Amino acid sequence: MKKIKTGVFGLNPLLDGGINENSTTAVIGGSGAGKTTFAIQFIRKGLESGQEGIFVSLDENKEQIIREAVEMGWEEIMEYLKDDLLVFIDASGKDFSNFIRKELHTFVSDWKKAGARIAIDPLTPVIWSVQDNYEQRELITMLLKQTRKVGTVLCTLEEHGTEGNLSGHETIIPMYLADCVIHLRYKAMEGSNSRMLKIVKCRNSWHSEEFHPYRIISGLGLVVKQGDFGKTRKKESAQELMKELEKNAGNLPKNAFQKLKETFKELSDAELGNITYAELMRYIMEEYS
Amino acid sequence: MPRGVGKALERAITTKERGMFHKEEVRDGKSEFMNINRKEIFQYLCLHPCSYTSMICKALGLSLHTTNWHLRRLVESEYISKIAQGKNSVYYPAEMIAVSDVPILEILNNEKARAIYVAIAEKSGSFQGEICKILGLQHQAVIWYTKKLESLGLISSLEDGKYRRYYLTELLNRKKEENAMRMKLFRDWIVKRFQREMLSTTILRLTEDKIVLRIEKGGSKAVLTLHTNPFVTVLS
Ligand SMILES: Nc1ncnc2c1ncn2[C@@H]1O[C@H](COP(=O)(O)OP(=O)(O)OP(=O)(O)O)[C@@H](O)[C@H]1O
Ligand SMILES: [Mg+2]
Repeated sequence: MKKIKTGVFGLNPLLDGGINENSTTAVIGGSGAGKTTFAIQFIRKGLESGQEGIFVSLDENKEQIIREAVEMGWEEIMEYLKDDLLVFIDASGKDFSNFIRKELHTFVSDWKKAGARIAIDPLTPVIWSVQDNYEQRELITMLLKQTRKVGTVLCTLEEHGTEGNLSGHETIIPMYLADCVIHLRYKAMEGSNSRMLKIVKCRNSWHSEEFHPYRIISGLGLVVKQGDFGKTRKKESAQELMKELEKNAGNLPKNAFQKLKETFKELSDAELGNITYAELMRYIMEEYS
Repeated sequence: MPRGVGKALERAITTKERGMFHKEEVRDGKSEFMNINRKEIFQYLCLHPCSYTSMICKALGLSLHTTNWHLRRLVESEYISKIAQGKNSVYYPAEMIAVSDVPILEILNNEKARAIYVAIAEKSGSFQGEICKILGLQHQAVIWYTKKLESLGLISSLEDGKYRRYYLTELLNRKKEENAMRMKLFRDWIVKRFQREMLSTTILRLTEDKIVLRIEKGGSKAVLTLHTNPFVTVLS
């Protein structure tokens, strides 16, 4: 699976290089958490690398989002807009859910593999546009399954209710259905250290499980602090682990030994967290004793 | 790779409305808020009710002439109210603010008064001299504004030796708490008004702090973001 860069500084190593191409990502956060900024960074990164960008706005009107992006220091999006490489679409939840039900299918078959980046900000009004929970689930399933054929999709979700409690059905449904879920926890009433990013899940990929502080900086957008996870994979450490493995080769079935050898070649310290090499070896040997 | 997926999606989503965009704009078919400046003035007044004309000009980068013209229209159509404060007037969205709350919002919209209020919030029991130093304000100004804030019940003071210490009162918090009910009425009022004007109105988003509405008529449309927590936003 090909990884693509998110456009958010500091985030890619936490996702083992970025998000998977043609996947769906949900960014969840309260008001002011930086969802829209995240979405613009994502689109902008794509434009930079030649992917078309589509920004579907269900909330603010497009003029406002464009203005905010320019204020952020991203004037160059005006050029992309002129060339239609970037398109902003204003839609209401109803418009959009009608489109999903009636026209999405045809649209996708026309534009399969267009390789675009698509942001839907926020997805919440689309969910609210239908009453029944079952219908909501069906609608979002259809949306996420289909749009990822056209490109890589990022949708934002409003976090309502109590801080950090992501159990409302308007967040639960898309959280289950998206491939990757990123939570922007923001406590507006607390000081400057109140922004924390956590990757809740990321299918088919290793990812950091820590809370990472982030800031929103003019001209850059979201910048995520990596902590220990930023370090690139250490090949030397795998060497050490390999030595441990060789020592135990005699007590392992041949094919298991081969398989582990392959695995260890790709293993990073970050993946192990605070599990030591010795411990890992012990657990493996226990399995085969 | 064929280009143009974005435009194609735009056409697909907005297809039902497409025909309408090319219609002649019918004059009476439009809303006050289809004009971008007028809309922004109204949105600004929701964020900072009881602002003077000069503040609105400055915040939105509009000329005095333009601002006055739009304010007059909004007053005429009764979307906003105008109330004299000294020799100038302040403006606020009709039905949003109780007349008795006008002086509170008016004073907190003043940059210096607000800075003083915030300074006292940050350090309860501050002396006037301390406030002058922190904010770099003239002593006279601090004396004048603390007096004004105190007379409105936003702050209180206690004598401590030769000087007075200043404290926040519970007034603003109480106003914040009472706000929710009033804003419900305000939202209902504005939605009803739009319906009366035959605008097709969709609520895109509704939170404690704001309501986002889309209005459409005769092929024109506008999205309004109206903040509904004036006693919080006044301090921003
Ligand atoms: N130019 C800027 N420089 C620095 N920080 C900024 C700038 N513009 C916005 N911010 C920060 O980003 C925050 C808003 O980000 P954004 O609009 O992306 O949030 P959101 O999650 O989409 O909010 P909402 O729920 O209102 O849509 C602001 O509260 C501010 O802290
Ligand atoms: Mg937003």
